[in-house]
Amino acid sequence: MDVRLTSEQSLLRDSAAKFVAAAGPKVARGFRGQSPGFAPARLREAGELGWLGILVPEANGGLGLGLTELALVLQQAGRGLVCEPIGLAAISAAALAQGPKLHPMLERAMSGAALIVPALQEGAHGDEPSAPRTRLARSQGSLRVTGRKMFVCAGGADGFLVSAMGPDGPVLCLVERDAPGCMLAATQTVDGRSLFTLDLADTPANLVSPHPGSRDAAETLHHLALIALSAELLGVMERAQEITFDYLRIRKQFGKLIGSFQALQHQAVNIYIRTEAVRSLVFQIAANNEPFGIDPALAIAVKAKASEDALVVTQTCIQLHGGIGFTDEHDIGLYLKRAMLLSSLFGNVAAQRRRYAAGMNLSA
Amino acid sequence: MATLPAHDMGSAANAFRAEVRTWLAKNWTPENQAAHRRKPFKERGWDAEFSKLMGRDGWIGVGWPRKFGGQGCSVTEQLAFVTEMANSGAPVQAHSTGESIVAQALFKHGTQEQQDEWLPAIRRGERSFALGYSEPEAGSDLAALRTRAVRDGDHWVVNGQKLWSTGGDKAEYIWLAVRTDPEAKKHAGISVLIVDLHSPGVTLRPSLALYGKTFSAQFYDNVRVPATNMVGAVNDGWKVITDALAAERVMIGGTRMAGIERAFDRLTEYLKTAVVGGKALRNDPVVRDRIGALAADIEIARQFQMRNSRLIEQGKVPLHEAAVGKVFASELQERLGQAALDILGTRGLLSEDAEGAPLGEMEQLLRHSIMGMIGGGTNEIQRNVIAQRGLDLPR
Ligand SMILES: Cc1cc2nc3c(=O)[nH]c(=O)nc-3n(C[C@H](O)[C@H](O)[C@H](O)COP(=O)(O)OP(=O)(O)OC[C@H]3O[C@@H](n4cnc5c(N)ncnc54)[C@H](O)[C@@H]3O)c2cc1C
Repeated sequence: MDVRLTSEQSLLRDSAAKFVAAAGPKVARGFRGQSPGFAPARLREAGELGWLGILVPEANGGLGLGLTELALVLQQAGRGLVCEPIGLAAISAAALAQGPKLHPMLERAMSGAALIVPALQEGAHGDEPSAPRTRLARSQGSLRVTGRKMFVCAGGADGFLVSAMGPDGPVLCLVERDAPGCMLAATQTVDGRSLFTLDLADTPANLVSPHPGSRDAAETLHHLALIALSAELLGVMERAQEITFDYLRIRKQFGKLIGSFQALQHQAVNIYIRTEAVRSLVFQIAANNEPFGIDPALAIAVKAKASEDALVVTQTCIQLHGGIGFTDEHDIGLYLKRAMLLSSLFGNVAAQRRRYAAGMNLSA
Repeated sequence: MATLPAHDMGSAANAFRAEVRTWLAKNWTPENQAAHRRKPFKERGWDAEFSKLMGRDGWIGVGWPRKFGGQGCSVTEQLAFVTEMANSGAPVQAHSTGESIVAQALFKHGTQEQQDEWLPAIRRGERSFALGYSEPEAGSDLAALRTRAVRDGDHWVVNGQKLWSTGGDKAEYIWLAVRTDPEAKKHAGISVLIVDLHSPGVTLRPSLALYGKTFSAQFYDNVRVPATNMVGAVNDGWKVITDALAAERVMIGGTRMAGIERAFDRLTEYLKTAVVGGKALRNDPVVRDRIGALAADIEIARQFQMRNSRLIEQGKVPLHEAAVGKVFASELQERLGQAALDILGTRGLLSEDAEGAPLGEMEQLLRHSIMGMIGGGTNEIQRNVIAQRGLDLPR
């Protein structure tokens, strides 16, 4: 059930696969508990390959490609447990590229010389992206932002795309890491990666122009993040499943290959079906939506589905391995932990469903 | 939402439970608990000093027959006891394997000398054991084990490898399943030895398990074990192992249930104050549905437990009934883990040692729950037992 790709898309996927071949579980293991938790040189390499500017119009120096291409790259990143925040960097660069003038930060963001990441989440349960509590106000002729962002992937970041409520509604603004009043506090997660609380107190900020077709830059960035995370989760599920099926083909108990037990075959098929469902959802949405015009319902739906299924799939993978899957030395557990991290960022399945239901007009 | 009502286990067990609580209130104080929580996650649950304290006050071996120095409690009272201990979070792992599996086997298969040597020390909390069953090629198919023991004078000489012994890096002794007759059919050539883990020739390789605690592989290189440490007759080990397991299933289940109840209570505690989007999360109908479903399942799992303990009290050995209880409870544990992650949101991800992880070990619950579906015989194997023994379906 391959997604039908153009030859350019196949090339892109292959070069992403090559990049990922040098990553993988072993490398990811080495980054656990480290700061910044990835290799800045590899991020720049992704920049050189054009991926950080994948959604940036060609006129602005990017590749000018769409969601399918973004998904193809991030699917590979998920497969290889890549630690460089390629997806977050790429969507942030795209967000910086929407104004009428060339953003001064864009070139460095695309090359990977500077890492800009979204800082949208304010609570643990997913947020209404168009109603941030963080405030933007003008004081003494400059813009200042005040508030708290949570669960920011701020390791190694030089700046943040912060959603805030301005005088005329929600806005997106760029805050530099070293700006006065900008404070970061790290906490360790199960994946070994740190997430940060970003406290902003009257911190200088610059507005980021929305895409001409969208009214709210923060909301469109949020939806883009949901697609990016879903594509990465898809890669995590796929690779975990492959590792598991390979194991079912070699492990013997009771004198038989365990893959010959129907109790395991049926579980294998169940996770395969879940993975295929996520794959078709991710690539259908990618094919039919513009990066800055994603149907919110679809973005929410795919993140809900991918978040839920990635957990079920990776847990089942461990169950199918038996005890060996439960050791920290075995790679399969890393896939579960990565799935736990990505599933919960920007809202887990429960948060997405809650938002989906809230957005439907259920009254008669 | 309040916490779950205490489980009514009958008047004797309820009264016994009250006694346990009184002791815990004195000896497992908030200060003790705070000190315990300050330890790294992987060190929690095992505390040799606390085991000695329990031993001193007679809380080890409450279910042992009186002639072995126990209190001769009924199975239901024992269940009340293990549940209460686990609920309190007090560390019992330093003595629990010795108190349960090893002691059960010694009652039935030990010689007088072995009973005199091991049981009083276990009861005082002075002997710790790990279990040495699994091997690289022998997991679900335990009877395929290959670690060899060969008789040499008044010793057995052991060579081989074991895997995943929980607490193996902390225990003094291991309850080791070995092959003593390689020619016999696979179940017929197995024996059980108690081996000092500090013996020359034992190499221990601890590793981290997915749920954040350690287990250990061991390598045995010509390890000499006194012949007096063999429990049960030579080549009769399969019976020793299965008897001890059957007797212990219910208690293991009790500990699991207590863990589930404790986690559930913490979750409802969190819900009392959690607010999302300006609304109390506890009023969210989806959350209420999930909490209600979990509470109902916890009641059901408790009933499975009670049924099994009654069967034992009637002198029967619950086999497929125990498997039903295990499958149900371990899968309930997984559902609870998923519900906790959903309800806690991103905060549920903070690792167990993280400063400010809201409910301490919640995130870890999900990873831990997978262990329940593998350890002690995987759920697939349990289902095979239920289908073939319980439902009498063809093999
Ligand atoms: C946290 C933890 C702690 C442990 N502690 C100890 C300990 O203290 N001492 C000790 O000796 N061992 C311990 N174990 C090991 C445990 O007992 C084994 O992992 C378990 O028996 C399964 O064996 P295995 O890992 O070799 O998996 P395998 O037997 O290889 O199983 C792999 C998969 O195949 C399935 N399978 C196997 N046979 C069948 C079949 N006939 N039909 C259908 N499906 C089948 C299994 O269900 C599983 O999904 C521990 C394990 C864990 C996870």
